Amino acid sequence: MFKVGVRYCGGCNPRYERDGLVEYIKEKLKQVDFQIAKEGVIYDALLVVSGCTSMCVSFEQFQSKKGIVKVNSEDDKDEAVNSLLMLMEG
Amino acid sequence: MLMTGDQYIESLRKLKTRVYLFGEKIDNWVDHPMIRPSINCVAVTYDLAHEPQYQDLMTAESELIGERVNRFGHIHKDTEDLKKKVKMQRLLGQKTASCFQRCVGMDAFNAEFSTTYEMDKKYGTEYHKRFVEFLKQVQKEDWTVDGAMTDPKGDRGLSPSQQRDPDLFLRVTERRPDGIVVRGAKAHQTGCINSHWHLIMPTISMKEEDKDYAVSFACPSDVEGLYMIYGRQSCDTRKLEKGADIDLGNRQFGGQEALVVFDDVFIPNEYVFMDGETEFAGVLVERFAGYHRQSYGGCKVGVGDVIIGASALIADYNGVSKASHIKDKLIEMTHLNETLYCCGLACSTEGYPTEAGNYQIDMLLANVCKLNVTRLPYDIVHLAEEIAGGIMVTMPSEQDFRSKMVVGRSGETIGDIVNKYLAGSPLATTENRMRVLRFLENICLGASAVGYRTESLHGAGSPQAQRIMIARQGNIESKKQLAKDIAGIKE
Ligand SMILES: Cc1cc2nc3c(=O)[nH]c(=O)nc-3n(C[C@H](O)[C@H](O)[C@H](O)COP(=O)(O)OP(=O)(O)OC[C@H]3O[C@@H](n4cnc5c(N)ncnc54)[C@H](O)[C@@H]3O)c2cc1C
Repeated sequence: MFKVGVRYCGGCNPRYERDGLVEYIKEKLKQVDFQIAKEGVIYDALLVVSGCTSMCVSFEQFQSKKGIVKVNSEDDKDEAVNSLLMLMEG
Repeated sequence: MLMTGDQYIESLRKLKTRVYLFGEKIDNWVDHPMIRPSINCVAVTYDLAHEPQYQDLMTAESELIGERVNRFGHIHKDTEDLKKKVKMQRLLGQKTASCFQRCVGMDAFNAEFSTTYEMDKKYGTEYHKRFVEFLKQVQKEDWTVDGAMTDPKGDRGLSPSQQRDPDLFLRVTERRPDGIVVRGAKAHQTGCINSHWHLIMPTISMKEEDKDYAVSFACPSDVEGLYMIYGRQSCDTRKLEKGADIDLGNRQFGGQEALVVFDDVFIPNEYVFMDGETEFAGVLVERFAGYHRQSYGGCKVGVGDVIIGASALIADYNGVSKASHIKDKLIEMTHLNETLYCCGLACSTEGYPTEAGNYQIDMLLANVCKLNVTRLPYDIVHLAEEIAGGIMVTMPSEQDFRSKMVVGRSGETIGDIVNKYLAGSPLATTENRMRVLRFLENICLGASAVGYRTESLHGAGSPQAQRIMIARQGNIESKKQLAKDIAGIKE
């Protein structure tokens, strides 16, 4: 199963519902195993969820084989789904 | 090449810019007493770039031309650049106590840089390449560029294509193989006459039927068909009074706005950066406005510093500086002013890279910054007026102060009488007391109030525009959840 590590920012002043957005993506990609990212685990892809455009979240400590998808607003949700699909295919 | 202030002023003389003022064509507008203070003000942005103690803020290393350029022509490459921009603006506000006019161009460059990149990505156009070539010219020549967004707009309830007069929003009237012809006007243009070039952007989001209005381009100030009608400022004709000095409040510096008219102007393709891509009109507007709302967290703060200084001075000169309520008012003014600075820096610190690679400010915080700017400067001038006293607006003129006409029983001149009755604390001469009072009058309700008050309110968009942006990003739903969690509400 394609494994995606989810990394959240600290969420001090999120401009949208970060959980809701992740739920939306999970709903669209039922075939994917989403897990909260942990150091030392190698994921197929990383989903970095930032509450605003500043993207202050650190994610360099996590490893992924195929790539990283970043979201920082509600508008990114469909693009994130597409990007993850592309990583799955690629 | 970094120009000096003098070189900048000389470069303006070489242009054939068409300027109208009081119903007449002004040929030597560079030396016109009503216009010159605004030119001096822009010249400071050039001079300070040569002074070692200001260079870190005033200049930046351009990745486009591999040279050090004036920061006003720079593309922000990180959040440090965004912060230094705000700091530079505060510095210039302090040095001029006026609108130094060059920010609109800088904000337009950065908005165009990312928007043209994204347009090209979507439509396969070559706007970004064209824009970068134009910007390289700007940096090499160290030009001042007017960032022109606001159209006259006619009936505010109607879209561009619905207006009774189709020219009320600037539009493309003809498309030729080698370029476009544009007609219309841009209103309230800051520093437009003092600019070498103009960078035109649409003023609002647009729909498909407004295609001809979704246009962005650059042109020289003296291009065939372009002319400008000078905007009046409160008390502006004081500048025409012979030997005027004290009564001007700020003799050397001032702001400038004018109506820029495009009377069927031909724009070659190489300077066209948007033509019909309605979907991106709103993006460009939002980005430019975002940067410009950040700008006010710097420039108005610098002017505020001078106002606070002038208020403290007049308190000294009036002999009230030890009064606790005066001290408290100065603290309040500082608090208000630094609040604006905090906002300018905060939206910069939280900046982020665009797809094109340049840095954009945090939109929510920039809009909060500007919404504060629509209010706090009014509070600051209120306090300044309160400290200054009524004499700020009832004082006899400089001519009276200098008059040798004998009017008193003991042979006193008008000047003697003014000197006697306008004296304050022994700390100051009457002349110096008058000078600081006139400075405050100028900034609170004279020519400089255009920049410090009404521009703070409407410049970069009226308050409602900021409220809309704040509403979009305020995320009230998640705040409701926070309250529910704390209050123990389970639904
Ligand atoms: C000193 C100064 C310098 C400036 N410099 C520049 C510059 O260099 N470049 C530039 O491009 N622009 C510049 N501006 C223009 C500035 O961006 C505009 O003033 C601002 O966008 C408001 O537009 P307006 O003045 O036409 O006011 P209006 O649009 O007439 O607004 C007046 C009021 O009506 C409301 N309103 C307007 N339309 C609607 C609507 N459809 N629905 C509901 N309410 C509405 C507004 O919220 C506001 O309260 C400058 C302005 C000033 C005052």
